[in-house]
Amino acid sequence: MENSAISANSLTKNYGDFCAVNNVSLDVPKGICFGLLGPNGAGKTTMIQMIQASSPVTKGELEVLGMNTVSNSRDIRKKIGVIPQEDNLDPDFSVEYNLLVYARYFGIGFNEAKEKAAELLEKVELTDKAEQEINNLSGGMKRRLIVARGMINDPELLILDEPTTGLDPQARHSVWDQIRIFKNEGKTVLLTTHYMDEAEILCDQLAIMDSGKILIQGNPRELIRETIGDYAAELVALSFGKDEKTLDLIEKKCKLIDVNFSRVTDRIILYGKEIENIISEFKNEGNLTDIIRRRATLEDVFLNLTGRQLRD
Amino acid sequence: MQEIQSVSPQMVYAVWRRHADVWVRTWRTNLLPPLVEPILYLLGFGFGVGAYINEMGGVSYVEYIAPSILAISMMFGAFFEATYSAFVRMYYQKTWQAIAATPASASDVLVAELIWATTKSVTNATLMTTAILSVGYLVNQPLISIHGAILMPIIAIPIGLMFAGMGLILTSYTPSIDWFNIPFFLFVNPMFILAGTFFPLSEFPPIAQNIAMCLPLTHAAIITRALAYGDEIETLIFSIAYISVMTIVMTYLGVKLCLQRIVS
Ligand SMILES: Nc1ncnc2c1ncn2[C@@H]1O[C@H](COP(=O)(O)OP(=O)(O)OP(=O)(O)O)[C@@H](O)[C@H]1O
Ligand SMILES: [Mg+2]
Repeated sequence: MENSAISANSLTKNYGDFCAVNNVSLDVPKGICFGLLGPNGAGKTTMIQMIQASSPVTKGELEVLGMNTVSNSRDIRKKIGVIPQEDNLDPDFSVEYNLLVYARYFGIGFNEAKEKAAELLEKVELTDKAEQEINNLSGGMKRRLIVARGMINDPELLILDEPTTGLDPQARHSVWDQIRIFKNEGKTVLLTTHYMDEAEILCDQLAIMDSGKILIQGNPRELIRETIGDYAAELVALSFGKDEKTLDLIEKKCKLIDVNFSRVTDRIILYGKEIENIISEFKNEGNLTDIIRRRATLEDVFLNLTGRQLRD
Repeated sequence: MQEIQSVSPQMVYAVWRRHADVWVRTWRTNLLPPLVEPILYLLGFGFGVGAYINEMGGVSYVEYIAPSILAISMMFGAFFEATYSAFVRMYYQKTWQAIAATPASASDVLVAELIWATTKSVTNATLMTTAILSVGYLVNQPLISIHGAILMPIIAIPIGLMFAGMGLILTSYTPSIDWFNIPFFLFVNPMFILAGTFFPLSEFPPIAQNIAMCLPLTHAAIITRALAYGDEIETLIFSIAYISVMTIVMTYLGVKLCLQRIVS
């Protein structure tokens, strides 16, 4: 499609017998920030590797910036910037030289690369570290440098695979700023993250994946409203299983009057639009130690969709 | 099986330059071994052990081992780079993975590895030839012919490529960096001693001679020896054919198998 940055049609990826991405169709319009969420092993990085046309597609079609990933892989990579999940800066080079070497792969001449590197280092506030060795950088600085490196070719599409994992709030905000500035130039961002607040803040649209499939897709606020309602209330009982009876009672009643809920160790979370009405139904049920009222979040949607058990 | 994608010379150069840049950054430590090693060998084995040996293969012992250590250094230059160093770039530093997100393709990366490993053979050959010529000048005994000295860096290209291809084949398979010790111990080190390098193959029983004639280093050493003595090229037809075929087969397999490992 003309206005799609990424357009996937029944996309499937197998590693041997294992299906990592299963019949995914996806359309990311140009100019937005699109989030790809999902538990560990959902297939997010696999999706990104297919989009950057470095990992072959098993079945289906994939177009990036209007180009086919099979026939135009080099041209696609020329126009995208990738911030990988794992740090792969070159430890043999200084901060600035990392950018210069990377620029060479895009055919950028030395003088132009030097200018561009200075500009990007300024942008991610690493100018005074330009001559430092990579091993002397903190995790946050490395991450910012990788973000800068991903923009060395002025990409039209920026792909960030968990760009803020392990960062302190300052560094996280600095990465967010780069993403916002980039998007404001009318370009497209594809982002994966495990932080639901981050996705809610940054993404215009997102998809939640699990086990290689897309479960749900849409605007974050609308997704919350449509799937669980705007508000949530946590009914808290005694901890450490001391009052399972109360929780059992509430659970039974939830099912009876058809209230959307989820049970977590010592509490039951209720969801809905008219949350005060719902709370009043349960207020006197057993011995509650606390009732917490809050807005429903993307995390609620995520946990409800993908369940609470850990992934391997 | 993973197909070899089109290879872009410009991208191969960009990747090769990255490796060369790393080498240049630490040039002092990189120059030292290929300059000092031959001097040690020539002193210790050539003149030291050689003092007890009248002649070997028709020449003095020091003249016998000079071309051998050249062949050995061509082998080690490429083989080490395509195994240990390539594995570090692939596995630990994720250099290949970083490049995979740029217009360079996996095939470009692997071809650049081959050429870089070969470059190491050529620089080793050049530096060692210089060192051997200098030693020869000092003791007033030309250890290798001048035209042989000029041809050494050139012959290092096919020899280096052959060993680089073999190295990549191992890299496509190795489960860990320590595993490389096994082929080094079972294959490279025995070859180092037995490929007609420190004594002529004619000293061997016939069956061992036949086995030695299958080893790549044997042919590399036959060629460097002929060049060093200024012998006729015609005597080398078999060795040249051996190295040509091996170079093509090994580099092709090395790239193909590594692609299979990294592009899944
Ligand atoms: N090269 C590979 N060979 C075989 N299986 C793989 C390969 N890469 C990924 N997988 C498997 O595919 C599945 C999806 O992996 P992927 O890395 O895409 O998940 P992810 O959503 O990025 O997870 P995370 O949040 O942990 O980064 C996992 O089960 C993983 O084990
Ligand atoms: Mg991932």
